Amino acid sequence: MSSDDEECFYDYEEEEEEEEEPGWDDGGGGDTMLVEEEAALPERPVDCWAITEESLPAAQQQDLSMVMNLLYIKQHQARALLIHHRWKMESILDHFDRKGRDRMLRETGVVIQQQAEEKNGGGMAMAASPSPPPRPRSSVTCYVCFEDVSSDAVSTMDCGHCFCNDCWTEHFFACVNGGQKQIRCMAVGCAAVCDEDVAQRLLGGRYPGAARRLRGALLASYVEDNAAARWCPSAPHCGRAVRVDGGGGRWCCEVSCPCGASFCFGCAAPAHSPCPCAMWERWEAKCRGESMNVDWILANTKSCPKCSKPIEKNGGCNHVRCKCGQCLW
Amino acid sequence: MVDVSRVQKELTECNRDREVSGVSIALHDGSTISHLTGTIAGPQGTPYEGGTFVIDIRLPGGYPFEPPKMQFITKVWHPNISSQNGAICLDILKDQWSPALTLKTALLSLQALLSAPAPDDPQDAVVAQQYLRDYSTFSATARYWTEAFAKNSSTGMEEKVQKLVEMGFPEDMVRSVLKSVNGDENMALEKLCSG
Repeated sequence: MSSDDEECFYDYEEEEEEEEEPGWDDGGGGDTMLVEEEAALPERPVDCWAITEESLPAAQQQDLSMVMNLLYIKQHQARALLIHHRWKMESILDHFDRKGRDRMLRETGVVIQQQAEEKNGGGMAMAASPSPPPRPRSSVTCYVCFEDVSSDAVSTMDCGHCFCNDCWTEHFFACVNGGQKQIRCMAVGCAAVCDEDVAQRLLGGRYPGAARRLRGALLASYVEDNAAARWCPSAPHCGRAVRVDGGGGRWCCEVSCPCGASFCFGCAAPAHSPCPCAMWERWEAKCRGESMNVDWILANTKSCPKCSKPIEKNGGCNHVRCKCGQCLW
Repeated sequence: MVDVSRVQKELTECNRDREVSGVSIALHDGSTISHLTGTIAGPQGTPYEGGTFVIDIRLPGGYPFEPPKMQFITKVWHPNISSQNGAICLDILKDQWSPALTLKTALLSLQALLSAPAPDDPQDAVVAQQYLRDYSTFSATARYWTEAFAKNSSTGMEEKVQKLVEMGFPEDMVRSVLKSVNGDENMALEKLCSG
């Protein structure tokens, strides 16, 4: 028995060394990872690599370009589609085959303009904002501020709804402050996603801080809305994210960031293999010296079923909507 | 911060055809333009018919790009309106708000909500339960609450004033308190005793 124990310990050490060494050799480009499975199940190899601040735009631009070329749509429409499918290219291709292009786009909230306009603009990587169509009158009434404005002071979105630029700017500002990445049309019941270039241009003129936040939120959506990517939980934040490919479904997976932090991919807690996430969470809550804080949280909040963040409800209607988009009780 | 020009236009537009639409908006006791009071008439053919419901409206700084905060002041027995505090469960006042909506359309939507409750999506679980299982009692209770809280006939008001004056309270104070509680005699008595 004693001899067996020593052997197991030695094997574990050896595996750990193997795990760390290739990561450093690659210079932070990739990391091996440890997958904990039941003893009966075979181990599945999973690819894992780091996303740096510099490579984040290029990585998502690659996905955006692929979708734009496949479906002849603009960048903001491709982004809306990818966010809707959590940046899973296979999911988009599957829906494309089963539902067809137009229905898939409609479900996402993407509205395609007239066929001729689409063909003209579809091929451009950064499609310019279409100029508003000619109008019989020189002034237009904006139905948000009820003012008459000249036709050059209004903007029209893909869905054809037209409001003055001041109202669009305030709408974009309110949406950015509310934490939304996909800004939708102002019209009643219209779910069309607004052109992010128009949003950037109008916000940049009056609220440059909000324009920067919108740009950052769009970049960060590649990690936050991606089922296969997580931010590194190190403090202070090293700015990197870790992406894992292969192996869907729920598994207990430990990943390492080039900055040295090792964490569980499922719950972003420190690596706790072979303990399941839920058990580890209870253990951590029990061990912390914040039992009164935990008691308050348990008594006053509920966890979002999607992202597990605790949410406190005070006042108002019984419906609660989490930032990640899931609607609660 | 509130778009004053738009709100003024909304007030004008809403009060222009108040007789036909049954909704109206006014400043709340000479308050600023961000605190308003709306009234809607109970829809015909419903237990709320004949009632006048007062709604507190507060406009956030980001209005019209953020939804207005509305709350029933008049007590109402409805599955989607809290019978305790008047909180309203209506999607266009929350995530489905659009800047192209107006206070008038919001009040008209509340009127429509009175006509067509959504008990599967309740704000007040007790009322929703009664609505689904014992509609006749729900209807009778809603009608009674409308009679008791939402009708403001002058005869009833005068009787209430006389009753409270006979208890020894000054008439001016009685009238102002009754007005502030929208004619609820019991609530007025509580306020007069505590005040």
